[in-house]
Amino acid sequence: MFFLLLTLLIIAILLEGTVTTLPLVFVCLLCFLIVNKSRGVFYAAFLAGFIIDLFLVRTLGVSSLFFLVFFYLIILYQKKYEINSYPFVIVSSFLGTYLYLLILSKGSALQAASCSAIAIIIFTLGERVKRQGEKKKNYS
Amino acid sequence: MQQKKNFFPVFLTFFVITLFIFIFSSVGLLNGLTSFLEQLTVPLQRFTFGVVHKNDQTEIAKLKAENISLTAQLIKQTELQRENQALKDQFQATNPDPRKLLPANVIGVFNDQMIIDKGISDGVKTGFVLVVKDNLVGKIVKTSAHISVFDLITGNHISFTAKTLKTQTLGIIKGQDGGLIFDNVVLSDKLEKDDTVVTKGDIDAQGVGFPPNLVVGKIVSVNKKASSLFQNAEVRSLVSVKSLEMVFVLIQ
Repeated sequence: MFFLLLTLLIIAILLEGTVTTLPLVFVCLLCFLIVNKSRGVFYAAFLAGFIIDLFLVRTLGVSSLFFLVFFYLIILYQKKYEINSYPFVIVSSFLGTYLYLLILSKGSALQAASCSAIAIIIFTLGERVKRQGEKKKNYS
Repeated sequence: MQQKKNFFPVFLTFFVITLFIFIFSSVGLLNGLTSFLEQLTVPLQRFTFGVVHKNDQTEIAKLKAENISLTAQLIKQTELQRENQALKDQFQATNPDPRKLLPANVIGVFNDQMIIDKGISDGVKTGFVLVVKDNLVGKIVKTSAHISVFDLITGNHISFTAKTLKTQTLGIIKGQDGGLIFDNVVLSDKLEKDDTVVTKGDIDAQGVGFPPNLVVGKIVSVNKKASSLFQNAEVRSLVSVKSLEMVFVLIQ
């Protein structure tokens, strides 16, 4: 699971830093937070936000701040409601992406919708890897 | 409640650290750190961009490059003829002095912005323009130690005065969703299809801005209505900006 996150995160940082305006880093981290609910995602959010700001000549910390606050709100929400579901992934990724783009440049519903589609794919992948990992643990 | 407690210390720690980094970065206290880290990230960006963005040397691309070169020569010849006719001994060369051009690799491409691997340490400042074979490509909007971001002229944030080469008609070039509009042209002035549009020259007191006679593009269609105050024309750039791998910063 860790290597999957790391691989996808590196690809997302490189792509977002060179060829696309889609906030792929945010989408990646969001999906892994929903699947794993691990504190490691906060570490990754801090570092990845820092790196992406460097790549895109933004004020350092702006992306990390957004990631941390948004992800903590997700954690607060999951105490009362189930977040490990497709509707939540779609809504949270859409809203998060739209807000992120609005803060940094211009909010785009089309880009937010694209990110929701990518989020579904990453979430599905993450869930499968998690279930396979749990099966292996049960057998051993 | 247990899970909430587990996350809160981590969140708070990183939030406070990030907030301090943000504040220090906003006031410029982290420029040294940014400069050092960019020396590590720029080669990575350059490599990734090179892998993702392949330059296609087809016959069409070669013909386009030849077209750009010939248009530049046409402008030089037209200006020389005008200079001779007017007998102005203080008229300067219209093209940028090659000694003032700083080559820069493109390491990032977005909707209406690009990133290059030259920054403050290379003498680049906000407001400098970028050219490719005398064709205007964009304007620097953000710089750091080793990287700069520039707006493409086809983006929505740039506008500048321009003139047509044949008819010397004045107007304003505005970027519009990936294209160019030559706008605010008086109805009595003449606009011709296939006429070349060049910059008129918008240099401020600091010597920064759009130098004159840089190629903007060619007129592809004219929109003239007798009921309107102005006419406009659609202009197409001679440079395919999305396929650029190297541009030149005009050091002013």
